[in-house]
Amino acid sequence: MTDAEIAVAFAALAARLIPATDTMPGIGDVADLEQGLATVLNSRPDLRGDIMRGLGVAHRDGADAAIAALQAGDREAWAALGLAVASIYYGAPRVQDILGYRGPERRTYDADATPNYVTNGMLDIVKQRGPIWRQA
Amino acid sequence: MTRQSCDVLIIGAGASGALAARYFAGAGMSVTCLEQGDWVRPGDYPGAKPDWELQRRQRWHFSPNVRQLEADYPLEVSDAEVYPVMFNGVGGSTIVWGAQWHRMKPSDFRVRTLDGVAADWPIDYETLAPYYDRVDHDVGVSGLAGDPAYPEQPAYPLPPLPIGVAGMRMARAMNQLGWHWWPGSNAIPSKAYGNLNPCARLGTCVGGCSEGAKASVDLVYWPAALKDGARLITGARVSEVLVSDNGLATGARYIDRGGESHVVDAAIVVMCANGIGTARLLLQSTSKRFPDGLANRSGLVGRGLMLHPLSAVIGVFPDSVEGWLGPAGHMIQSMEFYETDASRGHVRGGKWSLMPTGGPMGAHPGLAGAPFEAGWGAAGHAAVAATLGKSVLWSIINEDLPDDDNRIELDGALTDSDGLPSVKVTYRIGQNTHDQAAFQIARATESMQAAGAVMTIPVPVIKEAGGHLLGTTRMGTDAGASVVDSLGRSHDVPNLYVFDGGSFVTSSGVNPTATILANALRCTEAVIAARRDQRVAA
Repeated sequence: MTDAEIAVAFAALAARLIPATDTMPGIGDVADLEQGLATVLNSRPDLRGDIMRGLGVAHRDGADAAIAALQAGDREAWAALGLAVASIYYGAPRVQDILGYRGPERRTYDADATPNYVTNGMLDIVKQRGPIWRQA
Repeated sequence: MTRQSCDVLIIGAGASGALAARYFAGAGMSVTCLEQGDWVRPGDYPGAKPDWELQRRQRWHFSPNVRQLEADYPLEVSDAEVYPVMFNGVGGSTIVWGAQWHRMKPSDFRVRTLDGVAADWPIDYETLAPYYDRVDHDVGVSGLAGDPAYPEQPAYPLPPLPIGVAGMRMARAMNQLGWHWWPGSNAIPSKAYGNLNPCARLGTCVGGCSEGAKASVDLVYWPAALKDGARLITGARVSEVLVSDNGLATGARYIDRGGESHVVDAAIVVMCANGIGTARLLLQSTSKRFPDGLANRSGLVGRGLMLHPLSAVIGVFPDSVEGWLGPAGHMIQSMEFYETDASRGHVRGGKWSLMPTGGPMGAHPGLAGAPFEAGWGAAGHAAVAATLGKSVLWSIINEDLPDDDNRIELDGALTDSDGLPSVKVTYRIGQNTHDQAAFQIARATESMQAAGAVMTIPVPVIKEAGGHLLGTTRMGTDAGASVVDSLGRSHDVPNLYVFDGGSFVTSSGVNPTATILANALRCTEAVIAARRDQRVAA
């Protein structure tokens, strides 16, 4: 397959997997899929063989037929394509803004502050029930 | 081939090996440690990177069969209902552990006496308690003393980590039900501690902590061990433990990354390669004197494998519980159903840990294996919208009892990258454990519902989560029914020791690393104290 054929096959499959709905954009609306696929393969070169095999089926038979065939007969290619598509989509800033999730988040806290479950008596309820360990 | 010598040869640079190296070297003994993997640095981990969910599924996966690194050895698991997982490198499996930190309880050491099953340990809680106290401080545990699920113990060195929105919600529900909960104890520092940075709550602990804020032993013990002169050789795959004509260990042979063989001579050999790796090496180390493998006159090396089948209950709430925030680690814990209650129809119990569920790829049904119609398209969008940030899970450790048919053997066909025989795992979940898991899942589901969950998802067994590798070289007083004595010394080879989780007699219902470290400290100091009387080959 040429680079252009790979791009067309991947875009068609990705659009079937993650289409637009009333509340969420489709993958083609939020990401450069060609660049996204390159990024995925750079991060996970082990996926290349499975992805290219799956795209070969999509190129030959079309996206819908490929989805049916890969689910039934090539789970590795199916899983690899799903991973690539999902990784591109959920890494897109617009999707992250909609979901309110921007990746692993640093959250500051005061470790020396007395926790509210101590000050509000919640933990006292546990203590008042007494020991629950078994003497040996 | 090179040849060098030392007082103590340690095989494996994970939890027990790192601790042993640190204390042996600190006592002035010359130490060499052979580790088949490499160093990993916090900056290597994907935890804070945009593609962390993608990376975690391969390079930083728990399973050697998924990672397939040169340092890993493959596992044949077609006869296993739970797959052993581990990390092979400096730090061992603490690189990818969740750092939930628990002592075993007094009853865990007396299973035969109290419940009539398995066997009692040759040591008790009181013996181990002072060592637990010390390793709490070595690793910098964050937690709150006074948990009524345990005998009294000193304060942890650091205050507990925040329990978050999810922890508070579940704690209220547990109080409503009248059930035990307690803020989670974690080997994750809430404040800077030794070589460790404070936890940033990224929630990506189990893929390796990119903040340097998790007590993996490459950060906790190895710097001090190396400063005191311990020698750590990475990329060194041990092929056999060597013995003298009179049946004493003399060291080990290893293969470097270039395929060249080397020998390290030692007065004492300490196996710290985990409950799979140690048994594998002992079985590989056959000789005229030990035709069935070293330290294996009992025939028990590799047998009695315990893996702690993990169950989970996911609760999905109508609103956000910030379900991707750490620690992971755990926020709160419950031991309400830990101790035996005969009315339940099974013995023993388990511990619950409340954990985050992670990012959108973890929430996506298509990536979890759902078929196209149910997992992708509008269905995929709907599932992520419904669960991302709005879900949390109880991770449930089920105590599995030792069964000699659960075992590891050398595999006749599978080899590692050096051509050494790898491991076949046979593991079946016993009926008592099945019953226990069903009970725990039902109660955990009730707790989620009490907390307001609109949907609960039970997971009876998480197959690729057998990270607690226990029991394959168990300790005991009877040389016919155990492999090592109460100090980890082989019954058959008096200068060969096992300090890792293989020496566990039973598995308990808690994460084992605190016990592995406390026991390794006890055994290490016993060897140091008796070193002048130690029988050696030379």
